[in-house]
Amino acid sequence: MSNNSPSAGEAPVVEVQDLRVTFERKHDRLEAVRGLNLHVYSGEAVGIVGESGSGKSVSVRTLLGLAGANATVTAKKLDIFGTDARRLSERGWRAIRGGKIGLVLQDALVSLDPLRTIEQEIGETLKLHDIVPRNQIHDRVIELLTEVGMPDPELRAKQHPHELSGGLRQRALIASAIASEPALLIADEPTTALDTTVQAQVLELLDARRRAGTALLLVSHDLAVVANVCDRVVVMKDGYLVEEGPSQQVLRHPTQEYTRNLLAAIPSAESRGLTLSSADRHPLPPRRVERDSIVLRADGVSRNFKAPDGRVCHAVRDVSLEVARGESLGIVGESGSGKSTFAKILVGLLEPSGGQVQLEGQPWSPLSDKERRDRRRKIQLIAQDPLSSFDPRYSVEQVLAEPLQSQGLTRDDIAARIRQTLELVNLTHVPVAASPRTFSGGERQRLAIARALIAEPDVLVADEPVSALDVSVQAQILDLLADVQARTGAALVFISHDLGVVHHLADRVLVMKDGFDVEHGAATTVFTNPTDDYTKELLAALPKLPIPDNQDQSKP
Amino acid sequence: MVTSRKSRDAGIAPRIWAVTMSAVPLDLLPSVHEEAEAGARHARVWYLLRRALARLAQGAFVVWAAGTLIFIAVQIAPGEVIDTLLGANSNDISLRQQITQEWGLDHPPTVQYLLYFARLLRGDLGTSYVEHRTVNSLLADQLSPTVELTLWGFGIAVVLAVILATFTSGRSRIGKGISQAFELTLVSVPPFWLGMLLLSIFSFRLGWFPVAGTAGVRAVILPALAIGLPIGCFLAQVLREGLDRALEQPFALTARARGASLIGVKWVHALRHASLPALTIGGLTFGNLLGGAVICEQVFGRPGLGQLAVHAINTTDIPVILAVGMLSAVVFVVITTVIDLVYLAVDPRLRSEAQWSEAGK
Repeated sequence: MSNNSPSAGEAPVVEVQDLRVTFERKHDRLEAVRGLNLHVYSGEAVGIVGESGSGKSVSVRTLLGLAGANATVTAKKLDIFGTDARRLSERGWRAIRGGKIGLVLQDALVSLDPLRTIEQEIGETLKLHDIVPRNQIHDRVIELLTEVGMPDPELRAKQHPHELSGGLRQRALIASAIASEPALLIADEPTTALDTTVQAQVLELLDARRRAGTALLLVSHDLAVVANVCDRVVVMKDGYLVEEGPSQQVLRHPTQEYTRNLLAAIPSAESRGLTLSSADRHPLPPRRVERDSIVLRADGVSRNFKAPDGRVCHAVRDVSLEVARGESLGIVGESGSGKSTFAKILVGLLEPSGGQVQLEGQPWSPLSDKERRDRRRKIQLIAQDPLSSFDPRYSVEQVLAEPLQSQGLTRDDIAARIRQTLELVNLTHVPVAASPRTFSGGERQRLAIARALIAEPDVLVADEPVSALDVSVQAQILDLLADVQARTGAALVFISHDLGVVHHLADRVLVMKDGFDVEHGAATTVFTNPTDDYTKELLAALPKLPIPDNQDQSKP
Repeated sequence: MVTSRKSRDAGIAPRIWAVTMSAVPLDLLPSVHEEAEAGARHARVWYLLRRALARLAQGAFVVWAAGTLIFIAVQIAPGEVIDTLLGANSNDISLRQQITQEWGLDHPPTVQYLLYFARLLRGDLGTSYVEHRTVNSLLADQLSPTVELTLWGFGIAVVLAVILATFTSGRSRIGKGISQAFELTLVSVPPFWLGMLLLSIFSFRLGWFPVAGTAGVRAVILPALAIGLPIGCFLAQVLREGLDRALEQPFALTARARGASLIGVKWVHALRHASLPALTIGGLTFGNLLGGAVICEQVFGRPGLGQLAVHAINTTDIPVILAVGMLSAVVFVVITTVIDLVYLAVDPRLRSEAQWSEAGK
């Protein structure tokens, strides 16, 4: 583990050796962090990467003395600005928090107090540390907002978090964290809920702080984000430190199996046609696209919503598409682009205000529910959060039997179909009487896919089906979808904000912005040779990973 | 995730005036551009004004409905209306004529209804034929001890609830357990028993407070405690649950990370969040107290609306019973309206909650 920090001579801002954090729970103990070593110098950016449960968030909260009331923290060394933090009093911690270390959390909609104005929130840091006299707080808040690139700071200071867009909220949150000009800025998943273009702006803002001399500790599940910002990276899994080193080295020449798997799991242009869930990517099973057989067709579909004050929002404006049997179509767009509304119209859950949808050449929408009912099973929706789309009292068996109720099958037939479908989605290890609530995120999404498949649909519409999942679980679900498509011949409409995922799996792509279809065409063409400015902007904002050398070597 | 949390909040706070959350996912809402900001603010003011007017209209409707129900109840009560109103004085011929004239009983029911509402609108609640006084003057006498007791009792409850909740939320299970045991005890003790206990200790044994009556502030302390302690403990439980939930939110961690102390985060951030569900419950309790706390009044020998109502029922003093019923309806309408407005003041998100609906096709 080399140490090529920019200022190796001076003492690190934070130095941690063998950090262990254990949570005492009612009946057992949870070892969240098991032996973490970490050091950060000023002006340096260090990334901590890991999946959910890896202990990365707990680790950085420990640096603020905020691991939690029932946590036991031990370490061989826990030095913060040269002071032994193991002996710090609560008063000592409070001087460090906000004063010397700033914290930026995920999604400022809930990380800023929703009942207080931006000015009150940023002013809180200034007041707690007596940074400026009370009568200058307002001026300093405006300065800070200007510093983080907030347009119209006087107006924004008076507003509440929900009145700002995601990107502006995150800027306000960063402003509150840097109000006392801390020497270390900890950012815990600071861009996770943001659109790609906004993510790029926020990362640039954090990087600018680092260039100005602040040490940056960036926690993320996203290797590409870390690779673009951080000098060094620490990979964590189940509380253990797996691998540590300069970003380029770790990402190009990972020495650990886990890191290699994690890198291989990231969908991208390079992974097209290959599996993601193992380090040595295999070719995906072949899929037959019947170009002449159009299963789903939308013609000039529009959809409006009306606000109580009479303003009209055009969520979808004149969008058309054709999906062939067995084909994968990706719909890409940022929040507010109308992609989810469009998905609902395609599935027939929402009527279009204009235009029409045809399913297998027959009118599908607008159409009365009665006329739609016997063809409902042909097009199925897979939602982002499957749990909330299951009846919480239903067992696996009941969830899967529901779509079959109207088909006049015997009990044995239904049981057989459930067995077959669970095999198809690799979910045979769970008892059919179990409740989906006890499942992991990946298992839930498998069950959601099984429920869509059991009706034997011709079209699957998946709305952000992997957005809430860890990279390795996402890889398994994407592999599963490809496998299912190859076996059943179903067409897939895949809606996502993640360009990498869409590039990995889609034959054709539709890019949406403000309800418009801004560009569509073959995925390789749109992604490598975009014609629309917005598509270009999206692609430019995408954080890119260095191509791992090991990957090329492992291929025959 | 966001929607599930919101719906959980809504479930815990039984809103009188449900503000339905937008059914459309947030990512459908158009981003507000700079130039549109002023227009949007203008539209929001209109939206709030319309909502306030709708709220007032609804309040007026509830008062009207309560008055109408009372009128119908008198009409369909067994026997003649005049006998119902006369109560125990059914043999008094001159009184019979007076009531017939006052209530317009020689006219058809529709005319009676209009006359009745005309009197209500004038603020004339009629005459008590038992007490031989106007109902207005009877109410006026009883109102001030009731308001005094309500304000003191509720004040004690709020202070107790805030102290208990802020000091025991987010703490160890032991501190919370002790506080909860204390609260549960006080909540489950019958109010008359608590009243008698307070009386026997502080009035009979120690002689600190008068045994009965309404003279001075000292006379109101014990009955206010008897009312306020159980309500305070109940509110403390609601408030603490809200505080604990708010402390788990990311913004509480952000505030701690700015250097705020735990108690500071509770005061500055969490208490406001926790107050929303407590407001609804507290407001309704306040309304109940204003309607009269008859048991407490009885134990401490205090006058008040509760005593008035019980006395009126015992003596079949129908005009007074009707007036107390009407007063309760008005009190509840006023209180729910105030709660609704306070909600808007506390939670800015409700002020700009856009409810999108389908536009014309």
